[in-house]
Amino acid sequence: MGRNILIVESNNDKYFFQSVIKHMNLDISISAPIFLDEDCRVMDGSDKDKLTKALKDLKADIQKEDIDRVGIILDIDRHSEADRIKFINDYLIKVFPEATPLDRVNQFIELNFDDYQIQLACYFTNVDGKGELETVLKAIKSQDSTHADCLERWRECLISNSKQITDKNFDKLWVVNYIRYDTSTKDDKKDAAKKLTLNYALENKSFIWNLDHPILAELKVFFRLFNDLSL
Amino acid sequence: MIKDIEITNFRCFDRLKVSGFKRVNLISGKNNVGKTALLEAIFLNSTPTKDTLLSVIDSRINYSITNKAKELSEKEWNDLLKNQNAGIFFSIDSVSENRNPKKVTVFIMNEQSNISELNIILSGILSEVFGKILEDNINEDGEKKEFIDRQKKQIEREVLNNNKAQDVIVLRIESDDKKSPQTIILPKTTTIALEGNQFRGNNTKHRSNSSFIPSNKRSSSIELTLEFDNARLEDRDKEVLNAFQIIDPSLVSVESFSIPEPTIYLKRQGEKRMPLSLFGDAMNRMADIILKIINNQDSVLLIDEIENGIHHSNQVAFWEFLYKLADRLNVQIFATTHSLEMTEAFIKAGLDRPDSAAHFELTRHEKTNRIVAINRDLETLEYAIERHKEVRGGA
Repeated sequence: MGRNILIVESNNDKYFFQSVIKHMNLDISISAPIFLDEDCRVMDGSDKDKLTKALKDLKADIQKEDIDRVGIILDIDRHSEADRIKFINDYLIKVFPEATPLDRVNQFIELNFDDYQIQLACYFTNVDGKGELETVLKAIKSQDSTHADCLERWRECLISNSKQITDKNFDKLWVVNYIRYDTSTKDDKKDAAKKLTLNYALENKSFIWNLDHPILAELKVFFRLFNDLSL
Repeated sequence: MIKDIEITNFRCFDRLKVSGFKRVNLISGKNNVGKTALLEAIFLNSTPTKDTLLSVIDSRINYSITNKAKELSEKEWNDLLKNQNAGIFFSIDSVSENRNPKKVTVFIMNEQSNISELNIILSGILSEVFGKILEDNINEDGEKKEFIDRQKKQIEREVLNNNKAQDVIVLRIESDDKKSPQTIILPKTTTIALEGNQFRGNNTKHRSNSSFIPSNKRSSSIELTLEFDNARLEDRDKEVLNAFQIIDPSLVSVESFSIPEPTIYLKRQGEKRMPLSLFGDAMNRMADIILKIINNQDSVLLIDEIENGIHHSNQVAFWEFLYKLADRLNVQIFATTHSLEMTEAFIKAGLDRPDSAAHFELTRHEKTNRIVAINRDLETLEYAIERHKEVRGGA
């Protein structure tokens, strides 16, 4: 049986999904992320370029590695599921002209070229149809989060001074505060660069997240696809 | 320009298909994955002659110091085949950018083969060749037709009727041009004549379809000087100086003198002239590469381990020079490398010329263990390297 791999947007996505997969005891490896972060867009080229490169890189890997199934996970942000699927399909067909287009999430399509037969499925990280990874992390926190929650007041202060912060960036700050102030120990603070990071928190303090939260149910359905030999 | 190639039963390849060659092609891969064999295959398809075959065999032989000439053995011929049980031949088929196909097949007869089968193959080829020649010449004068009749009878006598079918190599070339199909028959016991322990075939002469620079080759002073003089005759010696200046910007002239024997001399600003041999491996290799391009317009150049001797700080300028020269003189280049730095320099120099540069990773598929050639455009290659992926071969 060949390998299953995931293509994700950022390192934080990679760390989070790895811990969910580990929690579920599954066997899926995650490629180096493709960085579709909006903040990076101006500096590093457009999202479509990055997705195209990731797909071409995948096509090269398929020719030498034993890969059976591939998953693409993107943040839904403020788009609809249909829009996100169209976004992927537009570039998928350019790199794999014989592929069946994706129709919906959590369903495999055939990504065949030359003699290679690969299955591909997609999923979009969301809470109630919008948001991104940090939105999910905020929803599944399991410890007291006073320091992070008080950022709401800070946000209100910004608004009253005619300043804005996007939901996306706010959620990122929330997660940083939750890790740095709400769930860190004295020891952690002594080695801040290493220990006050999401990666460290996921690997060594996974109890600060509720990985059994019902919000993760759909994501888990997606991951289970990869071990389902009947598909 | 060759665009695609398919190799069957040659060296380490059962069947290898490589598609999408461009003007300048870099092939990377681990040791023993077949990079040199791929170059040999392209060489044979590009210039399918007896000398090409012999030089391909020669490059893999260890000669003793006392060898003046070497008669080739059964083993050395059979080493060209991946699997003798799969068939007594290997084939190398190419398609050009104009969609012209060219098929080169080499039959290596052996004692285990059924002699009547071999006779059928040979008779089939011979009748086709001679039948076509006779047909072409049917309206020519009687003398020519008689000559061809005599040739045919002679071959049939020597090769077929005397049961020597198992002792020959048959090289068959089929393409769209008028000369096709061509058949060259040579006895297995061909002797390679050596000069200073290396084979000197006719491929080294001026104006060739393709040239091969092996990884460890150092051309003789006389050969290089002859090439330089040919370049000078065509007023192209300035290109040679420009190439050398990539490695040593203080050089001001390149000239040839017959002192004590034909020698290329280089001169640095404020210094006296010195022979090229004193300037190190990179300069000598550079001379070989540049002169081969300059003197063989409209041809194919194959370079094994192109990074040899070239310091990383000169690599981007070296590639830029190659791209420009190859484009101007219509030379298609195929080079192999182990070096990640050389690959990165290739990308940097080639990003502005996406239509001229192609990269191929030669590696074994993890599951089937078959050798595959993965074509990446330069941006995809750069992306893979940035993510610390292995593109030099292997997972």
